[in-house]
Amino acid sequence: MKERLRVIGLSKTKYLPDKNGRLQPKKVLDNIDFAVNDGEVFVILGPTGSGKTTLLRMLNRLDVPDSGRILFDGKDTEEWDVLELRRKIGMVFQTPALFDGTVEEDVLYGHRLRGDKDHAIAAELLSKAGLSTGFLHRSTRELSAGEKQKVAIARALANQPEVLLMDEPSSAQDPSSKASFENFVRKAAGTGLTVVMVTHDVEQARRLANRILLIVDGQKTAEEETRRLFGEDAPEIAKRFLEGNMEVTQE
Amino acid sequence: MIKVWASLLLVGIALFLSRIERARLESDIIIGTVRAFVQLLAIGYILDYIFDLRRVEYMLLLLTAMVLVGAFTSSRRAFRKRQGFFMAALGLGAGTALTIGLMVALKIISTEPKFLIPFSGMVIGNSMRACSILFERLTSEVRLSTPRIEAALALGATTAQAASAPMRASFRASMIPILDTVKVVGLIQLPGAMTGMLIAGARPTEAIKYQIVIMYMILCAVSITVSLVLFLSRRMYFEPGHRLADTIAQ
Repeated sequence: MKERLRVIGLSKTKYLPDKNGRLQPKKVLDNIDFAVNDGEVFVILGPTGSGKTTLLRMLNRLDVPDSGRILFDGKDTEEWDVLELRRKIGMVFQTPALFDGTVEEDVLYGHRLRGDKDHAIAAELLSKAGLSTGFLHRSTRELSAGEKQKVAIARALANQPEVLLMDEPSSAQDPSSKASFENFVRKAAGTGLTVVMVTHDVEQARRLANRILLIVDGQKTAEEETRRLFGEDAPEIAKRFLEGNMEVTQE
Repeated sequence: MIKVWASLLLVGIALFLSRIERARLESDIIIGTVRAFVQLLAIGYILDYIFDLRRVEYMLLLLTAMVLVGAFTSSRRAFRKRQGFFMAALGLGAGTALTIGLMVALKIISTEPKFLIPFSGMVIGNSMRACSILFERLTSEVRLSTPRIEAALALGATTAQAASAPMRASFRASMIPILDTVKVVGLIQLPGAMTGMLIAGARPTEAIKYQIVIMYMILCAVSITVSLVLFLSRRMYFEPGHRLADTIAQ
């Protein structure tokens, strides 16, 4: 299987304020290695504050590592034109921030940046993300959190990405929205889109992932196929986290 | 001769009211009063000297000092103070030089120090106020818009595209004071230059000619300063590679 992303020895120290407001160094990622294959759903799983989001943000260069490399399609992401890289590696944030205007304008944001004026595509993208076309001319301010998330997904898809990064995408959703979101992920992966998703929801990871990277306190704890990670021969620390017996470190 | 010492009674009233209201502004009032006195006394003597000398280099030196003091004052409100100082100095310098240069070229004012220095002072003072508002507003707008800016960057926008909304909002905010002043000039307040001319005995119809020119000049200078500083200030918030600076979130 073709390799889409390869991460080599990624480390990052952040300076975070302590109780007295003084900045203290904290190693949020420590020598992380992994690879993501073409068309798979790859889940980065770990407790809150374990460095998952920072890691995801490095994949499209919204954040930079102190050391280590990331290869996308065999080429160092630093060598890619960053704007082109971000169109190829789309991202959906945990809290979707939509722009002022209509849903259609929002969905076509990246599209318009490229000078493309084709409006027809918006309806198709919206229904792919699980929203009816009736939303097209609604204001983005009127939407619920779940609806906003779907618009954010449609907007990322408008760039025709090869990889879609998603940061806790269904954390604000009710059970039915969650189910429709998971359906979307399965379908998208079925069409060849590579999905890299961050979550702390063990059950969701188990339902969706082909493979899972488990990160605890900035360290790689496991990189396994899903059924192996949940099987008998999983690493001890992974078992502890998956059974819910792991102390959650606060950021 | 105007009785300066007698006017201290007015400061006394302000001090008295601060005491009654328990506002604890007494020391600020005293420091402000002394500073105003010393600063104006000093500039009075300096201007006397420069007006008599009629030497261009001394005048330019004074104007440069005025720009630097203005830039320093504005930069206290910038997200990165040192960078902000250079940006403000460049913006104030360019705004003043272009506007005053244009006025001289169009023969609206002469190059005599008694015209150039007060006109430049008005330009620098107003531009500095706009620049301070710009710095203050930009930081809060960029912080507030961080999720949207990052969403735009993640969709392949450049930093200029991603930050266009907060930049536009900050530009508008920094232009509000001068626009409001221009709108109501003469209706509420007779500006300083016009007041000065009237006190000195000029006819009101003569004084307004200067005032009209001054208002338009300030409007132009403020626009130039704010546009230039806005253009430069993107560097304070973004890193190379179209990325928001880590420090903005803290």
